[in-house]
Amino acid sequence: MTFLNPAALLFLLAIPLIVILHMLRPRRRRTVVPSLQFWLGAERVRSQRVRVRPPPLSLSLLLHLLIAAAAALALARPSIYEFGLGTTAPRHFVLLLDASASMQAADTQAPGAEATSQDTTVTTRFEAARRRAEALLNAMSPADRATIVRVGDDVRLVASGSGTPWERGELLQALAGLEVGSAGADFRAALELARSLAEPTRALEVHVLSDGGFAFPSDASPLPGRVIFEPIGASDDNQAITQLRLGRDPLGGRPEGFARVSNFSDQPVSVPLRLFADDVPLEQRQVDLPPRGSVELAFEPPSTTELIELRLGIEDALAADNVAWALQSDRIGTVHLVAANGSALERPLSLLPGVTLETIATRDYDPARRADVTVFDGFVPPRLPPSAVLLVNPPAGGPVELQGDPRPVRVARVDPRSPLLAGVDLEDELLGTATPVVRPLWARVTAEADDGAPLILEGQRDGRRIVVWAFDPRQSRLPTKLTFPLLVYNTLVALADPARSERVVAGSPVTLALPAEATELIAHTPRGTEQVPFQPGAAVVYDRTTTLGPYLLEVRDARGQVSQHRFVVDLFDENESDIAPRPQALADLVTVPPAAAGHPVGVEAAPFLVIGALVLLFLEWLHFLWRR
Amino acid sequence: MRLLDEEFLRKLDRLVLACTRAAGGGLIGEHASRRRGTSLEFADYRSYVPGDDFRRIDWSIYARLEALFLRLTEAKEDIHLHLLVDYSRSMHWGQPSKLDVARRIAAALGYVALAHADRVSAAAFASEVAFHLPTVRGRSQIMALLRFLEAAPVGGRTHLERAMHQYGERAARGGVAVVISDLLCVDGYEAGLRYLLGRGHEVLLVHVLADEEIEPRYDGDLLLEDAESGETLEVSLTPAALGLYRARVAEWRDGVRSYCQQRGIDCWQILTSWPLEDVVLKRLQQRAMLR
Repeated sequence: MTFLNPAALLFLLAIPLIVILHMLRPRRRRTVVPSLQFWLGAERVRSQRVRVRPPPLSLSLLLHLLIAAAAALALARPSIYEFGLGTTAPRHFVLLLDASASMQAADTQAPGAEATSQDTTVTTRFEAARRRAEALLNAMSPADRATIVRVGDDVRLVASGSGTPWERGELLQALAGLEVGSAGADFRAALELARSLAEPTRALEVHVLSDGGFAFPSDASPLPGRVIFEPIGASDDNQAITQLRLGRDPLGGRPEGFARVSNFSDQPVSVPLRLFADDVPLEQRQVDLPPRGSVELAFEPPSTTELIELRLGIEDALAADNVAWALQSDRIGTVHLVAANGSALERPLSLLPGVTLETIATRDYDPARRADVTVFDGFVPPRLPPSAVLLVNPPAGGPVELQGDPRPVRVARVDPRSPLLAGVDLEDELLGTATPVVRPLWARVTAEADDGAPLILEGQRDGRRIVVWAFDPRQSRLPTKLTFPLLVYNTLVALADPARSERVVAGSPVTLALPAEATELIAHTPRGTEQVPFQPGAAVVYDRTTTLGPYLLEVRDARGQVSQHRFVVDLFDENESDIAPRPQALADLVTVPPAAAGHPVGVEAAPFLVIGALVLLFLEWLHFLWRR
Repeated sequence: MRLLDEEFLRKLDRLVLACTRAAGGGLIGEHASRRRGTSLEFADYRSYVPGDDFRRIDWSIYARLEALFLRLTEAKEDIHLHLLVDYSRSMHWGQPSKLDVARRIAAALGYVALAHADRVSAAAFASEVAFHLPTVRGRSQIMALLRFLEAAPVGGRTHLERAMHQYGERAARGGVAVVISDLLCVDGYEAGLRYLLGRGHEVLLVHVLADEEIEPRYDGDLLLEDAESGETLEVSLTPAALGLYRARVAEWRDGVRSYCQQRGIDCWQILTSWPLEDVVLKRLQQRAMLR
């Protein structure tokens, strides 16, 4: 037994004080007698000046002493150890369940599970980890405590409770509801969380239920307790699609595809591949993969292809990485061209791949009409639309300030790192006559004239991307050159919403800004179609991206217009696809020996002492009443 | 408080007050009288009991039978019963209180006397006679006696000699003087009783005490307060202290008995827990006060 608050034992000094108080003569009871004449002999023991007498051996004194002793001991918080799992001190079990993609591998038998009616021959690693956690929970003593942590790309504390039957039932229920993920595992954050769960009254014992397929944080702080790695998984037999891209030749516009297939086993394997373009079977191939090696493939899907799907026709331990998707990454979308008197950009815009062009006269311009990119040539509306904007030869009164008189301009200096000028040589290019503009604070200069005035600006203002061509292409010979459509293409690509063709890590959220007119948001997911609640005008964070596959978020407004946002969720993580168990992952974990982790104590006896003191107090009260 | 219940009154009706000395009433009554110089009628014999007057022993019977008998003579005179009841504060103590018992004894004796045409006078005393009932006679005065006993005020300290002197100066000589008291007197009990004997009374002392005065149930540290004087005394009641008290009380009671015996005073020491019928019907009858 030990005392959690030994300083409180000083209250035992109340015991001699109580004895002294009982030795002092109490106030005498006044009693009327017929006559004092026969009591005169008893006055010999009348109290002296000090009024002290020997400690009276009375029930009252005994009860007072017992009450004082019980109260002092209760304040000192004595603790008695209970027995649980072979130790003498209660423990806090922190169960870190690896929920990364590799735990989907079906190559293991459930270790340490209680006998059930279920088939225990082969199961997924995550299920095996769940059963092992279940066995640990069932072996808890009432004084123990357990915390379940799901370790995925994000770390989540699922449940915490003691080993009492009702709380353990809740833990088991929470454990049964866990699902494996399709991304990695952040064990750095998990170990930090485990360290924060250490408590002085229980010994910390961290169980890492994992196949070891994570990068051990070498700079992790030591844990004040034991860390036990429970290896799960047996096989390394896995092949995976580790890369898949779909793009276009920027000049010719032809779609191009690229894939990489890897073999993580020690044996060579020949795998059949099947390629689909917009859900239409495109081709089949047989690929020979060397042991622990990769093969890269190229293919040409049809020009209108927006989505390709590649499948490995094999059954290995981890099926999640046997299929991948890719979207056409350079699709720009709808472009509105608003020009005062025609535009040199109309022709190249109409020819560029991935562009749906709509030419609008300035008088017909309606800012409510939505586009992915709006091009204003020689015109600036009173208020810019929410889309990305290209301002060509802007007049005064727009987002850029004009200063000076028009003068002939020549491109003197360029920023070669700017993606606008990728493959475009504008130096010394004469651009006709232009009015100088003042560089706004939100923009950076991509090209400038020999007098230092900016000719091409790019930046972001009020949440929209803006590119400014501070010249009229029609006053130069630029539209006749081959670099002009490339310049236009580069500009549109830079302005297009990069989220439109984004690849998202499983479980990661996608943020979507919705217009105020939006009335409906529908998500088409690999799981099916679902309505997504939202607040008009506010951004929506869509986080139901745990399932691998293509996603389409459809935004509808009151006018019936629809905008679409597409993305795919793939498992392109070689660390997860390499499912070979790595039990040595935790070998370097530095832990503080349990002996130095404080003084784990057991069940506190203070509540019982308090109850005992209250019972004694009640008995003393009865004794007092009886004496009266 | 109802001093006497109906059933007890019926039993009292069968009793007659007896007097072993000169009745002293001076009037014609129902009782045999014994006077000097007058013819005496021999009434009866009875066995000698300790405390009887040796002069009344019939020695001729003793010579023949070697047994002691008293010769009773009769004279047809009434008895004057003097009821002297202690109404001091010390009597108003105990459960039941000594005063209640004293009143009931006085009521019983007075009832018997009045029912048989004897005369009764009563006095309630403490430091002096605080309340006096003039001599009454006959059944019609029973209620007057009872009302007197119930209405007499309680209070004061007991000065027995002074009170007896005060009563004796007013009362007729002779008769039976019944002193009902706890004898917790400032001036002692001897002089007062002696005075009554000197007045020619046949004295009966009913010494009333409460059971708690014989066996007190106190313990611990107490502040005792005298019921009459108000004086206080701090005591720590150890078993030894209680034993000393009990010894003192026993010695005092023995002293009272001895004194009364020596002077021919009938003395009966009564505890308040005793049934009243035992006291009045049996024990006093044994003392030849009632027959």
